[in-house]
Amino acid sequence: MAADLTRGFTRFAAARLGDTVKPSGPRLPHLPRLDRHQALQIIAVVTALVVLLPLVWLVLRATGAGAEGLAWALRPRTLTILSNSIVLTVTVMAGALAIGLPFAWLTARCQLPWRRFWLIAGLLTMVVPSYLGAVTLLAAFGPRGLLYDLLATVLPLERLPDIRGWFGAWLSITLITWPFIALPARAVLLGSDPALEEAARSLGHGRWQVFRRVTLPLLRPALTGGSLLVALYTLSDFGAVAVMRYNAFTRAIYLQYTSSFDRERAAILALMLILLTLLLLLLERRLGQSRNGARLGAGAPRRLAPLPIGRWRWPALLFFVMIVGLGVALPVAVLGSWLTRRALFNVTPPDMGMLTATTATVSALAALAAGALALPLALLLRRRHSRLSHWLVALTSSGNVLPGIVVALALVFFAARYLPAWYQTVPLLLLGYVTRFLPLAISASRSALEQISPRLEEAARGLGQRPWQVVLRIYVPLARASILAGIALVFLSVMKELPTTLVLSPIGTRTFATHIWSAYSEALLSLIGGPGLLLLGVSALGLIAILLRERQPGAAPGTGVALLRELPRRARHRVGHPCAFALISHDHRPGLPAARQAL
Amino acid sequence: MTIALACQQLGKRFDTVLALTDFNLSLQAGQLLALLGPSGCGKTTTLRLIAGFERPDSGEIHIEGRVVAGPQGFVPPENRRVGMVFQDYALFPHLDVAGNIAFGLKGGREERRQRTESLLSLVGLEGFGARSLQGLSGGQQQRVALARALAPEPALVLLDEPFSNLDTHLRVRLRAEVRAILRATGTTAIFVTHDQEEALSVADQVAVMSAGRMLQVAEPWRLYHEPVSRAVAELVGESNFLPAEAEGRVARCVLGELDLRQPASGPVTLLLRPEAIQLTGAGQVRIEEVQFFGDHQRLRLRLADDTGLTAQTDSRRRFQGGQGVGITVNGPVLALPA
Ligand SMILES: Nc1ncnc2c1ncn2[C@@H]1O[C@H](COP(=O)(O)OP(=O)(O)OP(=O)(O)O)[C@@H](O)[C@H]1O
Ligand SMILES: [Mg+2]
Repeated sequence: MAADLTRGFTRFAAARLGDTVKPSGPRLPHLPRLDRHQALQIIAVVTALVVLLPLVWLVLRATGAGAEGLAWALRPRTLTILSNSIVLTVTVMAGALAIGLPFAWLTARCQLPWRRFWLIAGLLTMVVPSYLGAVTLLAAFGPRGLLYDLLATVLPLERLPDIRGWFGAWLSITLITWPFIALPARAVLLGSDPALEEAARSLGHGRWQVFRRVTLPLLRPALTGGSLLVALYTLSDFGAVAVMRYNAFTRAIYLQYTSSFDRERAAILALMLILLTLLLLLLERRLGQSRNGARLGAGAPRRLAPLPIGRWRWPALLFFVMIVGLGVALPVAVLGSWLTRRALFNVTPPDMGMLTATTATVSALAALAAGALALPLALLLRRRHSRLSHWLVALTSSGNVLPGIVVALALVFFAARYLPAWYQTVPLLLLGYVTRFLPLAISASRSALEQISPRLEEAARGLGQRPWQVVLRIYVPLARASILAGIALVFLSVMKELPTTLVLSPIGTRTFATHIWSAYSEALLSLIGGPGLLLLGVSALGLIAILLRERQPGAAPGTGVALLRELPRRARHRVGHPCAFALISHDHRPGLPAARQAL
Repeated sequence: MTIALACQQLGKRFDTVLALTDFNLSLQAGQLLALLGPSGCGKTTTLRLIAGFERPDSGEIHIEGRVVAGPQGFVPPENRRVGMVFQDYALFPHLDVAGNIAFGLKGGREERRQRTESLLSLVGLEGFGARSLQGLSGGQQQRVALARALAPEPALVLLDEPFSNLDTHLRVRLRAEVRAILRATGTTAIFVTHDQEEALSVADQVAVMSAGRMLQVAEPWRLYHEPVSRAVAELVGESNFLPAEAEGRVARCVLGELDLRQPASGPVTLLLRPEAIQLTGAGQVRIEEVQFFGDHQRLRLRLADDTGLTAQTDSRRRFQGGQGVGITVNGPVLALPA
């Protein structure tokens, strides 16, 4: 295929240079101008520079501090931050495994009552942004929270133990990250060849032995991959950590930046976080390359009959009620209660119209910009022999793989130094969003483009179409659904994004996310109800819309299809694509495969 | 000779599909049985019932005299001593070749290692123990799957379309090899196939199934020459059927009077295998079409009364479409119920 494309292009190039090869199309342009490939490469170079320069600058700032900076970085207080981050990451991984694996097993293999309901309700936890989850958990279980109100009516209680700190951060993040493990694990459980387990049975192994010796090893790559996603998420999460006042890197960086405006120290902390992230990515690369359990030959796909769970039914149901209750029902209920309680307080309600308009505008602008950039970059990735371009695009994904607070900070520092006119402006905010979420749009377009046979391009060229006409007349129409899904995805992500907005938005520009943040900081919880519910509602609707769209027959499998395929009964055999997570989580890592490739 | 496997009156239904009804089968120890039948007739279901992956709705299964499924109870697959070779092999991707083969072995480390080694050499894969599955060819994977199934010395080995994933060339070689291995180890085995040539040439006994029922179990020669019904004859080999009137050892049909294998009387259907029809010099029978295969050729014939027949001869004589020939019938023919 690549060879065919090369031939097509060399023929085109040769013809342009007045060589003897005559293509069958109409007259050729004879001016020396860029071919499509070169134009795309220029776009890739510029994008990569825009994404990377601020990060490079940040690293230079941090290392510029020299020995003094190193001493500061190695001081016990700084090292505590490091150990906090590591402790949180490890415990969240354990918690997510403890929820994700049983969830996958029960929904994939057992005769669970209302299986599909639990599946969908459970996965909806990913729609909840971490800061909103943390705020509502705090409101419910805080020292004087809703649970206290309830208990105080019957018990003589002064206050409940404070959940802030490690426990609160751990609970909030665990509750939204476990699907990173459950989704791929479930895909493996559904998709691996049932004959493997049957073979083990016929070789004399009981159920539990089969699980230990066959199923678990088959799950291992999914579990490792999922755990690393959870770890990356935990390291980069800002919202929950900040709300729960747990001094992990992201919060420490933000505090250093806002309280003392000590940019050098913020940069040093950011660099440490970058290094930690890179370490995880390296680990991901080492561990991530494993065989999967797909069948080797082509056999009649047969499903294992769901196991009856008998007396485990009630514990299992309790498990699902807990997850869905804490992860979905609780945020919605708390937000709803604030909405209705608002009249009791004498505070000015937020200007919802203004807030909605601002949020929608910045989200839409960022999404369109990302969509427009993503198409050329995805087209570039079609060219397999172009290693340089693959590298460039992979590098642009660093904006997505690194924590939002780091990316935002890098942009602020860079703009303050080199682009003072951009400092504190909406364009810089949009640039931040595009840097963060461009990889979402790229992978959506890319997966759709990969479905299109190169024969179509060749046919169109044979019929006299120029390269750019091929793009407009073949690629765009065929990949339209996925391109739009990518744009919608960026829109939803921007709408929920907290750290980038917090650091980059000009004074007075408020989105839902920053509004919720400041209402929480000022303890005006009742102001969170409306925007919070709206945010959750739009995210859930957006998710459903994208899923329904791709459900249409003939739609190219792309963003979200992996997840979608998990939902209907006829689930396909496919390990969860990172994009599936991207769809529903407010922070995500579709850049990961690209980053892995780049490392 | 002991009975290794007996299925009695097995029935199995999936929702609306009746996969097996009144299914009977018995197999002597050390024999190799081919299960032959059209797609969807219930071959895989039969194997899965015997292996214990499905429960029969009715009937009983005995393995080495022990009831493993029936109204009294159900023995789970791990306690049946039945080895299975799956169509797609189902090798464990997280284990190497030796790990796969040793998977079902019990006992000490050294003991397992030795057994694995001897199985590797049995299937001709010496030195492959530490190899991962990735680099193995289809035929090698097949042999690993067979070794894995044989390792725990099962009472019975089941192979579901073991050769269907291989190309024709490899297939012919491998089925001879598998037969030799099963022979050498004295293993009782059942293999499923679509391919009648494979069934007839490899197996000691061939069982023909159709639509969830067992039609006939017999050794290959009998199955081919003395099928119990027209349905079996149609499923095994090419056939000509002619209506006839039988009386004792003779039957009268369009070809005149033919000798019968067994006496019969009244209206019958005669089974004439194509190679039983011999072509003589010029005559009234017209050749409609010639299919040439190199080592033999097949002719579509049309009799004067418009009856169509298929004949098969060696390939030396040259025929042409439209040519008129004479025919005779070689040897006695079988009378089937009309
Ligand atoms: N788990 C199942 N659920 C529902 N129907 C089934 C199931 N397994 C088999 N069947 C049905 O039972 C019938 C027999 O299936 P089986 O797989 O045994 O056929 P087969 O002879 O092995 O066919 P093939 O040669 O195509 O493999 C078919 O109609 C099939 O659709
Ligand atoms: Mg079958």
